[in-house]
Amino acid sequence: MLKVEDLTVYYGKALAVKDVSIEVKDGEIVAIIGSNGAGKTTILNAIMGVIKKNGRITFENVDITSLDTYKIVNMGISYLPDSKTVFKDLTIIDNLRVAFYKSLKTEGEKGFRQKLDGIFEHFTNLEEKIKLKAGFLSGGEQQMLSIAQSLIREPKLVILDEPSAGLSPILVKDLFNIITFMKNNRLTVLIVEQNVNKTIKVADRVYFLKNGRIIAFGNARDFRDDSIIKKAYFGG
Amino acid sequence: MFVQYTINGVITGLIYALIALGFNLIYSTTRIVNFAQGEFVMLGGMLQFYFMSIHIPLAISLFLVSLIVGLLGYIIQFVFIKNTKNPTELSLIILTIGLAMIIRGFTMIIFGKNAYPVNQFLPFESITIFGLTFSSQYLVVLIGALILAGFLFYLLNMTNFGKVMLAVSQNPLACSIFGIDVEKVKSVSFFLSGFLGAVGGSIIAPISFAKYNIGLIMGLKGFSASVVGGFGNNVGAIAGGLIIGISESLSAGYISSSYKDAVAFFIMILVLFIKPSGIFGSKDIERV
Repeated sequence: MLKVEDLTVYYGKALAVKDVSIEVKDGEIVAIIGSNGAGKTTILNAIMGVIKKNGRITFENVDITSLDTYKIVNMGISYLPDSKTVFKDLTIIDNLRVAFYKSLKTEGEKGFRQKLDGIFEHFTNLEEKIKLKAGFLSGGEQQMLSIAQSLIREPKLVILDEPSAGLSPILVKDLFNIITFMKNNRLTVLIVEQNVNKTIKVADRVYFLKNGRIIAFGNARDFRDDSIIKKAYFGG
Repeated sequence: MFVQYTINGVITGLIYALIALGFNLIYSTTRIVNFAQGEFVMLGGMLQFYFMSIHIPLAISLFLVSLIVGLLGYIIQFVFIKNTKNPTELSLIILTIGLAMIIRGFTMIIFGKNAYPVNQFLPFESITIFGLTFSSQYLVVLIGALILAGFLFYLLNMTNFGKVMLAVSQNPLACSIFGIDVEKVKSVSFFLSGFLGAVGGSIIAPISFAKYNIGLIMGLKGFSASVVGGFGNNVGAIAGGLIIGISESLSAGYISSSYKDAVAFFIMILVLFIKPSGIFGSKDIERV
């Protein structure tokens, strides 16, 4: 579904990512794991067309390397960046409406309401505050709203950049329940996470990143309790 | 005389309010203060004069004027602002000031430095209210300003596109991530702002004449109205416009018309001292 080939990114003269190749197949959950500054977010930003890069990126066999972000998204990719995507002056329902805006033309208000019902099955705390402006939500609730925004259009591929960052333990549990739900429904997910143990439990395959290079990859179950996790995540 | 001055002030204030709404429209989508806004008003008046002088019917000329100036707004965003390298708020403000000077210069070259009279829109010359006689154009300004303000309120508050415009101003990256063409939304807001300014310029032209250099002062007064009401707040823009328009008219009537232009800026400075966020302005929402 998604193929990243020989991706190299520089920030000015500093090398951020070197010759990274990643593949995400239909229906699988792929995780990228690495310590802070390893280049995880850079890879995601490169895929989404947010930064300049060298290499080739294809989605469903279409070259998306030089496409604008909004065009990549409209091909069926949903992206949750490490910064929140909420609009503080808009209500929760309007935040979700804006996230669904491109599909509103084809699916209409009725389609939006149906998707909303599906979203609120997993985000019950948001449903209770539907008319509240997002600026009044806690940091964790805003993060959950961002996740809800990335899911409402039912994308083909969901890219999540550290979705559990800043969440309370209860919300982290809810988040991984949602990711498990995605997995059970054969949704394709590329995830960058700091919660390594939980991520490896839900992921099908993992890539370990260090200093902008992939140092190991393979089936997630092969790496559970493996020392390479410590190496990639904590250094050494 | 008080009623006469007040009504005069309301009419002028409504035009300032329209300019302020134009400032808000662009600011609320792009966070740019567009100092070419006054030139949209000037162009509206000049083009209205031109089209009426070649006997194009009023409705068609109004449509053409608003379309042309709207497209100019679209081009300003799509060609100049979009392609500015490493844009900052300051660099974009300077850019819009430069564009305003270019528009003014070209208009002077084409139309000259004369002030042109524009015919009133209605077939009758005057209207009488409370025994006082006013130009019938006052009625046009009143109705036109209310329709435009109503349209803007509907667009921004009741439509999905209005919510997208607000979202773009707050988090353009997130909008891109949701598949929204952010540059297109910004260009549409510039088009609407040009449209708004042009209609304002057209309908005020029969009262104030059309001249190449009125954009600067009109733009600054519209900006003052926006600041007084609370920058980015549309109710504030109307209130600010009316406060400045009425104060200006009363000061011209009771003190001296020499001080008329200074009144807007005096009020703006006063508001900045007392309530910097403007009368209707509020602080950003932050959860405590």
